[in-house]
Amino acid sequence: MSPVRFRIADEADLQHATAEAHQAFLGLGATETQAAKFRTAVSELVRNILKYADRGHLVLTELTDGHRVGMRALVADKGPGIADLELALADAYSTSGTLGLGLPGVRRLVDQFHIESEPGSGTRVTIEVWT
Amino acid sequence: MSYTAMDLHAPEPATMLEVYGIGQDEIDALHAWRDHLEEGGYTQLVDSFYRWLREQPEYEEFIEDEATEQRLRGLHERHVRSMAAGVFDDAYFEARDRVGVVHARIGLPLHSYLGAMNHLTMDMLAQVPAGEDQARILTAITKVGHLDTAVIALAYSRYASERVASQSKALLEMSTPVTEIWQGVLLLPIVGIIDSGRAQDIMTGALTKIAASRARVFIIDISGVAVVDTAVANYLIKVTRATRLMGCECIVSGVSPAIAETIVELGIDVGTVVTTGTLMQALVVAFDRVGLRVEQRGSR
Amino acid sequence: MSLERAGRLPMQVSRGCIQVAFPMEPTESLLRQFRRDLLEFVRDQSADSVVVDLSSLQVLDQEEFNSIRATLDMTKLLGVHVVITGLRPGIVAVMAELEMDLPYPAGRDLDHGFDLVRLHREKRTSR
Ligand SMILES: Nc1ncnc2c1ncn2[C@@H]1O[C@H](COP(=O)(O)OP(=O)(O)OP(=O)(O)O)[C@@H](O)[C@H]1O
Ligand SMILES: [Mg+2]
Repeated sequence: MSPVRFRIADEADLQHATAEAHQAFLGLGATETQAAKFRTAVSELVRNILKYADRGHLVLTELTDGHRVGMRALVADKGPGIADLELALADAYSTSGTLGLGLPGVRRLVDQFHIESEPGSGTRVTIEVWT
Repeated sequence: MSYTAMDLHAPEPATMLEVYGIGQDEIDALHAWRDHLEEGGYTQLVDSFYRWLREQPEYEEFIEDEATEQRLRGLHERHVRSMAAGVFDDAYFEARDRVGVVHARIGLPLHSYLGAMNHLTMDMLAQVPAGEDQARILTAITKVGHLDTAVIALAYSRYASERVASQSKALLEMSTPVTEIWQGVLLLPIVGIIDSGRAQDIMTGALTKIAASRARVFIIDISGVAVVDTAVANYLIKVTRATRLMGCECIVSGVSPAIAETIVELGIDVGTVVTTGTLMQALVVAFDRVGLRVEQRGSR
Repeated sequence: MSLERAGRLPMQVSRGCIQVAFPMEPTESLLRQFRRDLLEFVRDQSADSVVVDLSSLQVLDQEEFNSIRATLDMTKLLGVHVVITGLRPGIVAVMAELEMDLPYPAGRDLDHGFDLVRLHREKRTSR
């Protein structure tokens, strides 16, 4: 299946996109726990877009390495970006007064985590999960 | 999924062809045009289209990199080729429908899409060679352009109405009925999504009801909740704290193994919040708190 | 599915209390299996408590500790009372040194662990 792209601009998009992510991974044979973790990770990243960047998009891609299958989610925005990535990835760091567990939590939930951010030009997070 | 099964209101391909006046004459004309296009015409059409597209504000927003453009160029050429091939079967309509859904999903405004479609049609008309077939080909291309536009616009509106439908379903699930299931014990089952607005409703609903019923225990059952991310956990922790300040203990029931794993891996510390896997366990705790014990009859 | 079931780590339940021993020489995949099996077992049994015997632990690295801690935290979220038993002095010394804590009632051995479960139940019903 070719990559599937979703726009992210409001809470309804969040709901729609995370449900699709969950469904897609289950469809590949993931367990309920694997799918719940993936959905939650996507949900965190998409919420960050709504909180900090206003709008952005999500791209879901199916992966395979010959014997295992997985999913990749790219969550990107052209918002304000993150000045200090190390700080943003630390537990309990938040500029909005919430738990500050989103990014570090996502990192623990997935197999592969990659973040790029440039202040002023946006943030791109790529995560991968495998069955 | 077949083209018609997806939407009751989308006419059959045969009907569409009839409405747009596309028959054997048009198909023959398209074939004549196709033979002409084989001499570099497709590449010119694709190049011209992307030259134009790069000038549009949408280009920046929707096409991120060279690889995406290359992929889209390929699809674009296929699209033009299939128009010229003149085979208007189910597969043709399905493909157009998919194109519409994909563009609606990424949030490309319909007028932008139609603008691009218009540009492409103009370019195609300009690719018609002079000669005795010219007029017939121009007519055929115009008709097919309109046909495609119609199918894609239908897909857009279907996508929009499906979204509205799923949103109103979500709205239905959004009521927050707090019930007193036993004297001193309140139950709130949550189904669906917890967003900021709903969290607010839950909070006010719960606190008013606790005050009115002087409840000792408040059970929130989350077995129907789709995702517990940090935001949702945060709401739940807040509600728990608030109920405690009203002298009422809060139990969060319906924590599945999948959700338990997710919460711990996210790193959320639920602290003193009492959680249970099932509603039954929560009831046992609740009855215990209000001084009741449930027993099998005759067991003592 | 049935294959996985067959490979489930030994767990037993008696009078509402689950008893489970942490695996010997825990590899990463064994740790994962332990977690999954325990969570599923807790979900499927109507037990109110779990006694996790950790006497098989000979060495403890950060990874392993994190995994055990997380598994116990997850188990607790399912609403059961968690008790640990059998930690060896060497392990406990390492934990103290590295400030690793398992915030659960701990028993010297299995019997003591069951006593702790009983005490917890009595305290609950006498309120
Ligand atoms: N897409 C983004 N654009 C700009 N800044 C971001 C983005 N995502 C995260 N950040 C910054 O990184 C910080 C950490 O993000 P993280 O998701 O870990 O925590 P949070 O959103 O503040 O709290 P929580 O997710 O626990 O509610 C945020 O406070 C914010 O400053
Ligand atoms: Mg966040």
